[in-house]
Formats: sequence, C-alpha cells, structure tokens
Amino acid sequence: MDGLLEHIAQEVYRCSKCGFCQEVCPTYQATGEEFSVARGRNQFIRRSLEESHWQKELGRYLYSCLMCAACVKVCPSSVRTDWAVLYGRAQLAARYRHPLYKRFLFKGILADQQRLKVGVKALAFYQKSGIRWLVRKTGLLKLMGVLGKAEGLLPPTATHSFRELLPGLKRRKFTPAHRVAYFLGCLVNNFFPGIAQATINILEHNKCEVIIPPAGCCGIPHLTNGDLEMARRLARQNIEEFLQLGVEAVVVDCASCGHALKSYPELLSNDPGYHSSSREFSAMVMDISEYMVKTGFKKNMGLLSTTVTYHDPCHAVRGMGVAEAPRKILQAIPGVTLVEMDESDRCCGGAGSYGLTYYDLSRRILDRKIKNYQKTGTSLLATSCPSCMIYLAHGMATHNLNGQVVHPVQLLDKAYKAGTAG
Amino acid sequence: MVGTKTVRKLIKILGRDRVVTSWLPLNSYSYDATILRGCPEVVVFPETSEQVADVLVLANREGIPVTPRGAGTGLSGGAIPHKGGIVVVMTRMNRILEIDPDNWIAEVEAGVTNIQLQRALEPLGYMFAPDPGSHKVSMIGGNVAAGAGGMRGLKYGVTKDHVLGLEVILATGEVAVIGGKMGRIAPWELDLPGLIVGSEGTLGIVTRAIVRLTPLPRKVVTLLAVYDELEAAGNTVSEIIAGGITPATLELMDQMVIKAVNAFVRLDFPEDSEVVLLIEVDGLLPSLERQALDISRICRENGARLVKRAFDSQMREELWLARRSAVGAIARLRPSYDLEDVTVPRNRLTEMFRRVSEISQEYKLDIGMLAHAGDGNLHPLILFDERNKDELERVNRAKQDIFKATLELKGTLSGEHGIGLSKLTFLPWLFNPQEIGLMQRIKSSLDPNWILNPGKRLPEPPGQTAAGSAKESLLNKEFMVKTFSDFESLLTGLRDILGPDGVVTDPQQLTSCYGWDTNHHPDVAVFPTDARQVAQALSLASKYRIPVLPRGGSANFRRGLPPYAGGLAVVLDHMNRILEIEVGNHTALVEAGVTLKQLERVLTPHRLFFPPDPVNFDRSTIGGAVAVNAAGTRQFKYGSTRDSLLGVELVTPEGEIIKAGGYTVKNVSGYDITRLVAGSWGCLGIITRAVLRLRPLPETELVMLISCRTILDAVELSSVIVRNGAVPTALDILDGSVAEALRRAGNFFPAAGGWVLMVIVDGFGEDVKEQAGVIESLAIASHAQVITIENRQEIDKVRQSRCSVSAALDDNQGPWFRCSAIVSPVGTAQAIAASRRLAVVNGLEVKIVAHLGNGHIHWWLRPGRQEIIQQLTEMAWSLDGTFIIHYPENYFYPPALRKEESTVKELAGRIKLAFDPNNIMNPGLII
Repeated sequence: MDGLLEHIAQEVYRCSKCGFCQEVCPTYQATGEEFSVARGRNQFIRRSLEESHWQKELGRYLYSCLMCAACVKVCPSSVRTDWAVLYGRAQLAARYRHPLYKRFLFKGILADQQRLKVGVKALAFYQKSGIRWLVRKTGLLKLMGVLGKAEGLLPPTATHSFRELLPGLKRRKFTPAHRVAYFLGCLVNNFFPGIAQATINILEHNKCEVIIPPAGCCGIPHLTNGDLEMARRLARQNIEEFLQLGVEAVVVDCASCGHALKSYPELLSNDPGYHSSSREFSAMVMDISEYMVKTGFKKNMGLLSTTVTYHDPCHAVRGMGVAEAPRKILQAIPGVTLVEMDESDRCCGGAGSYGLTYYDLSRRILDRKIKNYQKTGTSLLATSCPSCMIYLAHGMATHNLNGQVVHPVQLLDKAYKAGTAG
Repeated sequence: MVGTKTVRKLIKILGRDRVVTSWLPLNSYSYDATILRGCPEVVVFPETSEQVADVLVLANREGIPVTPRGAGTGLSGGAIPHKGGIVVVMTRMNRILEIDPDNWIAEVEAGVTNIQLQRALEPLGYMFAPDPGSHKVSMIGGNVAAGAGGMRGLKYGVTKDHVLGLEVILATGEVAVIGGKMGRIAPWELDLPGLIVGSEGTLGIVTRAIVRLTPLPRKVVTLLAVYDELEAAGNTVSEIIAGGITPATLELMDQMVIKAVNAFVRLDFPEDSEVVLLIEVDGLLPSLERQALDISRICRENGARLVKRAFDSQMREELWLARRSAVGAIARLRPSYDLEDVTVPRNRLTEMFRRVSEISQEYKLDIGMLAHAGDGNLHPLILFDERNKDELERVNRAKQDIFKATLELKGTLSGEHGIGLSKLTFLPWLFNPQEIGLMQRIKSSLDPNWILNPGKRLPEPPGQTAAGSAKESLLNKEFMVKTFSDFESLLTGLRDILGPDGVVTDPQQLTSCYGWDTNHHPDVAVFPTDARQVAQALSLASKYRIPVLPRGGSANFRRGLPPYAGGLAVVLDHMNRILEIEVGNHTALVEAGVTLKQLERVLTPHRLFFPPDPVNFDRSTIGGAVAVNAAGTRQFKYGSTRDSLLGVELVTPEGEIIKAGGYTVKNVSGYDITRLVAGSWGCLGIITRAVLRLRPLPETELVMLISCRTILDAVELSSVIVRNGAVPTALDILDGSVAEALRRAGNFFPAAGGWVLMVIVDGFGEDVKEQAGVIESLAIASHAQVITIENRQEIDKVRQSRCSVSAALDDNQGPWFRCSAIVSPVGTAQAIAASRRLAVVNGLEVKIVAHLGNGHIHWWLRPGRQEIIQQLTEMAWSLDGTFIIHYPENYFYPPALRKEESTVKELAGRIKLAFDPNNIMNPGLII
C-alpha cells in the first residue's frame, strides 16, 4: 500500500468530532448537513477504514468537498481533512471507475498538453460555431442535467493559447537582475493568455529574465480525483523540467498550480529518488505577487482610479500561505482603493471542476461570495487564481453585475503601462 | 419501526429533499462529540415549527422515537439516536427573528448558532451571556436543551438565567409558547421555560427562544497565573471567591491540556507549567485595576510562579482561542477521550483535584484537567484509545470513581453537559427512586408515549405506557372530607403524627393566623418539626383528599391568594434552623421556616447576603419566598428568589421527600425541579429546605433620590443611566404623592410635586462613586434635584420605606385596590401615563410605584372599579405584558392574567398532576 496514503489515513483518527469545522465549512454552511461537513467526511473515511469497505456511494460525499482546507485551519487537532478526503477518493478511484467524461478529461486530455490543445479547440468550436446555439435552443441542455446547467460556466476560449503565441511574442531587451522560470498553467494558457502576458510584462518591467519551459499539468486535477499515479508522473516531469534551468524561482500566477507544486514533496514522499529534488523544487515555487513583493517591485506606476476588493483563493491563502502580497500590490497602485470584503478567504465554490459536478450546491456557495462582493461596492474583484476567476465571472454574469474580475498582475501591468505612457 | 409508509408521510410533510433515508448519510447522524454511536432510520430537516409539529404528531401516533439535533456538539450523547427512529435536525431553522436592544431581548430560531447571535449583538453593545466552549458552532436550541454554561458563567450565569421564553413543540405536536418577552413569566405561572432548559430534548423540541441580552462589559482585564501545583491553583480560586470578587471567568488548565493546546495556538507561557489559571475581570473602569491587583496578590500568595496580564486584545483572543480549543486539541495526544463534567462546591475544588489525580494513578490513565474553576465545574479529560478494550474498561472504572468522589463532596454529576446517555447509569447514585419516579411522571405528563429522546437523561420506567393524560379531569374534582367522622379520623391521624400540640383546630386562632376572615379559614393547622412529619401529614391529607395550604410567615397569602375556606394548613414556623453556611462556596442550607431577617442576621458577619428583600421582609420565610418567588428592591440587579436558589427539599402530597438541585451554581443533573418549585405557590408540594446562593455584601451602597418634574423626564433619565453602563440594584419611580406619604411617615423622601426616581447603586467603592457622579450630573443637566444617602442605617430605612407604601398610604379614608402589571421596560412610561389618564377621566385616586428596570408597575386605586381593572388589563396586554390583581380583603375580582394563559395553564396543570395526582396542594389557586 502507498506509504503516503497510509500516513494520511491516520489523520481521521485525530478527529475528536468536536464539530468546530462547521463554522467555516462552506458546504455545511450552505446545507446544514452533517454529511457535508469535514467532521462527517472524516467519519465516513474512518468507518470505511475500520470496516475495510469502500462503498461506491461514498463518492458523492467525498467529491462534495471543495478541498478548500478551511477546516484544517480551525481544527484544534489540525486534522488535514483535505488530504483525508483525497485519500478516500484515491481508495474509491482504485475500486470504481470514474464516469466516462472524467476519465476522458483526466487521462485523455489533461495528461498531455498536445491533447489538451485539441480538446480546447473542440470547446472553442462548440462555443463559436452554431452548435452551442443549437444546443441551447433545442432544449438539449435540460436533457444534459447538471452539466447542462453548468454549460455557460466556461468562459470563451482564447483564439490562440498563450503557448501558441509564444514564438511570436515580443520580448524586451534588458540586462537581467533576476532569472526566473514561469510555470504556465493550463487554464491561463488556454483561457487567459492576457494574464500570462501581464505576468511576463511585470516581471520584465522589474528586470527579470523569464524562462517559459514546456511545463506539463501541475497534476491537481488528477490529485483531487484520486489518481495519485498520474499526479506523481506529472510531478516528476515538472521537477525534472524546472530544476535543470538553474533559475532563482519558479513563478506561478495560478494559485491552484502553485499549491500543487508546493505539495510535491508530500506527494512524492514515498519516492526516495525525489526526496531532495522535490523539496528543492517546491521551495523555489512562488506566487507572482509574493515574488514581486519580495524583490521589491518598482513603483513607477500611473494612476488607475478604481476600487477593488480581493478574494483569497483557497489554494493561495491556505495552500501557499499567500494573503498579504496580492493586497500589497493592489494597494501600491496609485488611485486604487482596496476595500476588504467579508469572508474574503471563504471558498467561492468553483473548486476546479466542482462547479460542473455540484452545480446547485456550488451556486449557493458562490451566491454568498457574490453577496459579500456586492457589499463592498467596488467595481473590480481581484483574485489570483484563474479557476476562481472563471467562477466569479460566472457569478457576476448570473447576478447581472457589471463588476469585472481581474488578476492582480493585470492591474499592475496596466499601472506600469499607464506610468510609462504618462 | 420506521416503515416505508411512514417515510412517505414524512416526505409529504417536509418535501423529498428534506428527508434522508439512505444508509451513508444516515450514518452521519449516528454520533456527536462523544464516542457513543447509534444510527437513525430517517433524518429530517424541518424549516418551520409546523413541520416539526407535524413530524411529532406522526411519530407520536406511530410510537417512533424522535431525537432532536442541533450542531451535534453535545458531550453526553444527547443527540445520539440509539433507539433508531427519526432525527430532527434543526440547522435550517436559523433565522434571527428580532433584536430589541431597548428591551434587552432577542428572539431567534433554534438553529441560530451562538456566535451568529453574538455577532449580531456585538455592534449594538450587547451579548448573549451563555458562551459554551463550542459557541462558534453550537446552536441556541442546543444550548437551551443542554442548559449550556460557558466561560463567563461565574459572573453572568448559565442558559437558564438568560432564557425568557420558548416556543416548544411537545410530543403530541402541540405548539406551546411559554414564558414571554416581558418579565419572563408571570408571578402566577410555573417556570415552564426553566423546566425545558436543560431537559435535553426529552420534554419537547425547542423551535424558538426569546433570550435576555446583557450589555457588553466596558473593559476587561485578563490575567494568567502559572503554578507548579494543581492544589495551589485550587486554593487561589477558593480564596478569590471567598474574598468577594466575582471575576467573569476563572478557567483552569493543567499541563497535559496546555501541551495539546500549545501545538495549535502558540501560547506565551512555559509548557512545563503544571497548571495555569486564566482569570478575567470585567465591568466598570474604576475598580478593575484594584480587582486585578487583588487577584494577582492572591495568586502570588498561593504560590503562583508567574502572574501576567494580557497586554492587548490580540493576546486575549489567543488565550481564549487556546482555552476554547482545549477539548478538540486533546485528540492530538490520544485518539479518544472521555470528558467529564462533574461539579463540586467551590470550597471543595482542591480536594477534588487531589481525588482525580489519585484516580489517575490508580488506574494508570492520563487524566488532563480543564475546569471552569470559579463554578466548581471540572472537566477531567481521560485519555485513551477506544480500540484498546482493557484501557476502555479502566476508563469506565475511573469514571465511576470520579463520580463517587464528586458525590461524596456534595457535588453533582453534570454541571453543563447533561446526563444524556453517557451518565444515565449513574443517575441513581444521585437521585433516589422517588426522585427519579417524580421526574418520570413529569416526562410522562408532557410526553405520554415517551417518544422524545427516550432512554436519555432519565431511565425509562419499566413497561412504559401512556400515562398522565387520564387524570386531567381531577383538576376540577370535588374534595372529600365531607363528613364529620372523616374529619375526626383525619384529626386523630394528624395528632398521632405531630402530637396533640402540633394540631390546632380552634377556629378563632385559625382565622386570625391563617385565614382571611371568619368564613375563609382552614379547618385545621399543623406544625411539623421535620420533613418526615410533613410527609406523613401529607400522606394522610392525600388519603382523605383534603386540600393542603402551606403557610410560612403568612406574609404573602393575603396579597396573592384568593380566599379559601377549609383545608389543612401546614405551618412551617417550627422548622426554622439554619443548618449550614458554606462561606467558601457562598451557599446556605436552611429550613423553610427560617425568616429572611433571621438569615440576614447570621449572614452579615460573614459579609454575605441573600438578595431577595420583599415587602414584609421581617416576617417572610425562606419557604414562602421560594413559593412566591419573592423579589424586592434589588431585583433589577440580582433577580428574584428563583435566581438565588440552588436546591430544594420538597415533600410531595404523596409523602415523598424529594431533593432537587444541590450546592453548585452549575447543575444540569435531573430536571430543574428547583426552578419549577420557585414561584409554584405551594401547588406542587411543601418546601421543607432550601439551598440558597449567597452573594458577597457589596463594599459600598448608596441611594439617590432624584426629583423629576414629569414622568417622561424620569424615564428618560433612567434610560440614560442604564445606557451609561451602570446596573443599579434598583431603579424605581414613585409618584410625588407616594413620596410625600412616605416623607410624612418619617422617611427621607423629598417633597416633590412630580416624580421621585430612586436609584440604588452598589459595588466597589470607586465604581459606586463614579456612577453616583455620573448620575448626579445627568440629573442636574435635566434640572432635577438629587438627594444622596450614604449612611448605612438611612439606606436601610429608605429600602424599608419602599416596602411600606401600603402602610404609608393608609389614611383611614377607604381601602386601596392593589394591582400590578409587568410590561416592557420601554413601555413603562406609556403605561404609567395611560393609567393616570384613565384614573383622572374616571375620577379615581391613583398612586403609582414602578420598577423602571424591569417594567413592573404597581397601582393603588381608590375606589377599585371592575371596568377600570378591565381597561388596565387590556392596556398591559397591548404592551405584551401581564396584569396581576392583589387580593385585598374586600375585593374579589377574578384574576386576569396574560393573554395566552390557557395553554400555559393547561401545561402547568399536567405538571401539577405529576407532583400532586390528587390535586390537594393549594387546589385551584394558580392552576
């Protein structure tokens, strides 16, 4: 048996069932159900372990976890329910096959950049050709059930992925003071090439030479779906790829990717060959905002005159411990007023593909987030995770709000541009 | 049990998505925060009271056990459906319905979490005082059901002290609204909310609660004292309490707990400390420093290694986070723990610590110690691994020894977690079969089929069947003892029990001492000298079915009772011993015939007092004060007798001697019969002994008499005083003519044309001085004149004069009709003004005295006319209030009570029959 998993399984025995997780668990807050709270999930796993029996139906309650880790932070015994749930999912994945669409997504598309490219093109074709119109008009969506409800969730794909644009990208010439690698994640690459552009712009503006190696998926979709083997394969690939570059940091602009990369040492803990390299690698991984703040980013910015609030992605605030840095960046921009929202570190409900599989529940969680946003009265909602951005934008659209969802790097980039233009 | 047909019916009531029947999610409702388990057959999520009621109607009809559940954080297994059946989850009834800061109340649904309410109140400057360790997730409904305590219980009391009213769904599906917004319960009602609080969902499902708000303290000082010995810390606690300081909290954690917590919250003190005390004093600014210094000194004198003070709010919050997380964090050390909740008198704390550590050694178990030390409430944490059977067995034996030690020290099984399942087998160690029998009858009277949380809190009677309901008609039944021969043999029996001198039949004596007039007096009076004689006399009375009229100092019966002809008066004059005063625990055990005056004389040298100071203080007995729930001038700050009563010995008409409550402030073992008896007007049984909660005599006390021009001036001034953060002991208003009458009777009252506001403040010298200064400047700003009285004798005189208004008004020009109302504090001015107008229009004389703090208004009317009474009653009702008529000798109006009287009365009737199946105790009086 997997050493890591064995270790994680012990977590659930530390749960004293005090129930303190109810205070923060977004799924419990939305439902009031014991089977939708960290304590409940821990007990499911403990019972399955004790009875050596993993029911297929368990998936429903383990996959309803957002893996936001809010519970871990308030747990007096620090039970890592997110990892425990992951353990449970791995047990289920080993016994029962995922639904077809998931297998197709994880094994077929996300495992390989080339195939992902093809998949995204297909999605783009669906969105832009008449098919989407046809599907929507014919009521096919209703037949598709939950997937149908979530159909409008994905943003329009970019005409060209960022990687496709890379060869033609104009790079600035300067004497570099720093040398960093940029981990270009799948979502940013395919849906938000603008963010990637902004990340590179602000790095270069601060005299950083940016190397963009052909990274694979960070592995988080596989990890969260219980496919540890695939996640490990991707981890090893990425470590090999990045360590040879001899850069001072691996910069990420996607909180989920960052969290995954930071978890490699734990993920590979039963692989002695990667014991030190995984540690070395994860120590180099750094959120873009944090890297900017740490290296003392330039303040020669122009005026933006806007109000903004910041949503803490789970994978940033709890996954990587990043909360201050993005706020410091936003506050450094002249004319930008940062207004804190209530419960800024509460999950938005997006949680990767969660919004697809638990649409109704995730909508209730999203609604709470949007309400908190509305109370701030700001025109911008900033966050540093593209997955949150997709979901928050969906929330804006369904609530008919004009607010715009942005990544802090986009604002900083804009401010630098305003500075040089002026 | 729960068949598919039943499930279909449940779905019909609640909707498909609010009924859970599949195996995995059902399992999620098989546990709480204990290690006990039991799986339900169906789980429902009601969203309205009607749905709860419908579910209960169904369950009651089909005999399905129902387990109510809130957040599932209970520590005694109360929410575990060990008999299967239906679990009713209250999480979706989570609305805060009303917050009324002016009247200091909030109304919430049961599923509102404690913290949700606290967060809503905080910006308004208020709190809900109960704050159990789980306050961030536990729900008000659960707090009520468990009788939750918390960290600040020492100063602010526990849940029962802060629940004013409840909506409870009974097993039969009846929706009972008990208590109310104003004045908690009317003087003539049983304390039904008091019975429900702490009943662990065995008497009904709480769906709504009206709770009392408490102003947030102005300032808090948090101290941390580190010790090398547990006993030294225990001694510190006893000495602080005995010294007359009442900290808001006095928490204790030992090394094992500290270690576990330290891994979660980095605490700034040495991990090798044997034990720490977390002490918090709050309140008014001036004396806080001195209190903090005194406490620090006491800590050091008792051997504290280190005493430090939280320098900012962040440090304070961390200390509290640490304390609150202690139980959860223990799981870092071992996978399972058994958390006990034993409570001992506070002067026995050190002894109890010693016993627990002996037990820990004897059974080779790690036992951590966490305690609300100021309340004597210990939480020994026995660590083990439930998978290790040998260890589990040792845990069980250790637990038993802890209980034994507790009971030997006059403690109780549970202070705040409840009996539930985990301590059920030990209940007979605390209560005898009669006492358990009585509680079972109470349960049967509200839940005839025992469907609500059966097998918890109380052992089920063997062969439990529907009981109680058939006897209801007895309430209206005629009494026996009609024939002369019956009466003669009753007398013979009584003389056998009490001796010839203990029985009086002389009509003249009976009339003058225990009767209303020559037509309304008892047939016979007896003078028992101990509880056994009372029990025998009552058994006899039951046999002959003669009405029994308990009598103490006869201070109140004329005021409150309708005249009654015949019956057996049981006079408790001769049971007047003060049996024990525990200075270190602030308790006294006294017999019912002890007078308040007698008690005061004994207590004063100990610098202690018993707060109630009703009219006729000199004559009132403890038994009488308990029976009528007496209160007096100190009510605003100290409450009524009920709030200072910890236990009673009660003789039921069946001749059982029942002991309820105990010597601890926190106590949730058994139904709260103590609260039920307080204010029961002798209709449940005869009180023979009481355990009283004493308070330290305030350092300073002063009276301020403020002459105001109009009632509005006075009311405005008083509300400013309260808003300013002061809690006066009294905040009374007297109309000018009453003040004048009192002045003529030789008191200090000013000769004022308008109104006199009487403010009494007590506490630490510097606080009182500051408050007086503030009040004076407020008064002067509104052009009122102030007389301040600081002399002890003079204060007592004013206090007494406040109680002798009737005497002062007696001018030989015809009798006054006495009546009162309890309305909302903010409605008081309106009610007073309206009643004045009413009197003027109808050409009546009216005199008014009112307690502004709690909305009590007293009227003296002349002549008392039926239609005026009717109008006053309606006015009180229109203000959500209660109206009370005091019986003078010549006016016989039917008493008009609160509007929803009928349900409450009906419930009270059922409970009375559980105590008094033949309905002989003060029949027809309040029930």
